[in-house]
Amino acid sequence: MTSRAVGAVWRVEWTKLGAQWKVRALLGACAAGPVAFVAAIRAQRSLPEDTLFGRGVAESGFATPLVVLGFAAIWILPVLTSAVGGDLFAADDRYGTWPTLLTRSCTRSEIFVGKLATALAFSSLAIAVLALSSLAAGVIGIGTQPLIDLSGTMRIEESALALVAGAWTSVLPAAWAFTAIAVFLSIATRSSAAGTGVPVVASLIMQLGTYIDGPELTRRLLLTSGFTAWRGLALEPRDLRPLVWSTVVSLAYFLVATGVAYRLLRRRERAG
Amino acid sequence: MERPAARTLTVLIAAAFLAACGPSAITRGRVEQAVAPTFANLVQVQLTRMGLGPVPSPGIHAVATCRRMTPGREDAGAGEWTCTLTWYGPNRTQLVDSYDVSVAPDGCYTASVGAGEGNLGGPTIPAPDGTRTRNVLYAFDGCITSTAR
Repeated sequence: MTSRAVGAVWRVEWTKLGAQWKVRALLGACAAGPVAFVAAIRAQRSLPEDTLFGRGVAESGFATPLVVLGFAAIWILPVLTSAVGGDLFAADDRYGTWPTLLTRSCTRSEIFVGKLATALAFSSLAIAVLALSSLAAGVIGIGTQPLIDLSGTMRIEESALALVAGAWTSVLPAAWAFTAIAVFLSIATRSSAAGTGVPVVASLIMQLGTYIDGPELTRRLLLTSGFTAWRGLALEPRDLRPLVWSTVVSLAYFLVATGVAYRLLRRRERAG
Repeated sequence: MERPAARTLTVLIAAAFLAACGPSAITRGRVEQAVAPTFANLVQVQLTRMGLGPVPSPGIHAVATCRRMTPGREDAGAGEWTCTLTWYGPNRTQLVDSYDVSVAPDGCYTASVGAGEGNLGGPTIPAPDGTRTRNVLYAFDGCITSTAR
């Protein structure tokens, strides 16, 4: 496997992504959504009090990215992380381009790594756009006043910014694991609908699992715990244990999904 | 789906459900250890917002005594709790306030001033500049730390 060949796959996939309206619409929504949210907050008097940091959203711009993250963890992140990964391999089946792809000078491993890297990069890009847009909308629309964290402590600008950055960065391992699952499903089912839809449904089922009042271990084994573990960063002193757990769990999901997906692709090679 | 895979999946789902039936991680001690220091910190914030001198958090010496109100166990589990907070105000007088605390299964909670509670004021308080600002002690959110016992 050579990095040059992987790079070639990467460039081709990004060119294809750039031409898709779905991809542009997703990134556009990530950029515009938080701006619309802040505009709505400024235009009305009611606050999203049922969400963590919702009470302080009109007082500090740093609350906006945390409210958006809390909401995104349930609905948006699973969609963003599987939208591209769930379609990358299935699209070649749908358009019948596999035979052409297999005759090029790239090996199956290089194609797999190039496509997987593209899917992971897109997930990261979409999350980064959403995070930066939320932060910019909050800071510009509301201001840089101190933020009251989940321990009731005032966080000044620098500390609040570090919390926001840490919170959004902490969801990346779980996001990459969801992307890997989407890639696996894309290869296993050869269906874009299954590749993009099943991870979202699985995420919602896991979210329902968190509503069961049981032992902490059960909740920590759910992949979606990686989308909420950032709350420990908003406590004083910081509670890093959920974050460490969720990172290890996400890594396990990622390795299993990637390993099985790669094996399936190799088998397909032998069958072909 | 092949039969062994379906069987493995069924066993995994059954194991997950059985594991979820264990004891709740939300205990009275954890709720009390979460609510009291958060309240003490928010008293500091409130005093600052009102233009009053700060009192060190240990000087506030907030102690919470909580009880679960949702049917079932009184000392563990998500649901509705009530917490009585004993604390010391800026002039060293002892104060007692009560909160209704709604604890979610994930350990995060919302504490709202209890019915009939008069010490802590309404949703807003007057700021030094004459405007009204949010009363951070009227309702607040927090999370139970995983290291608490």
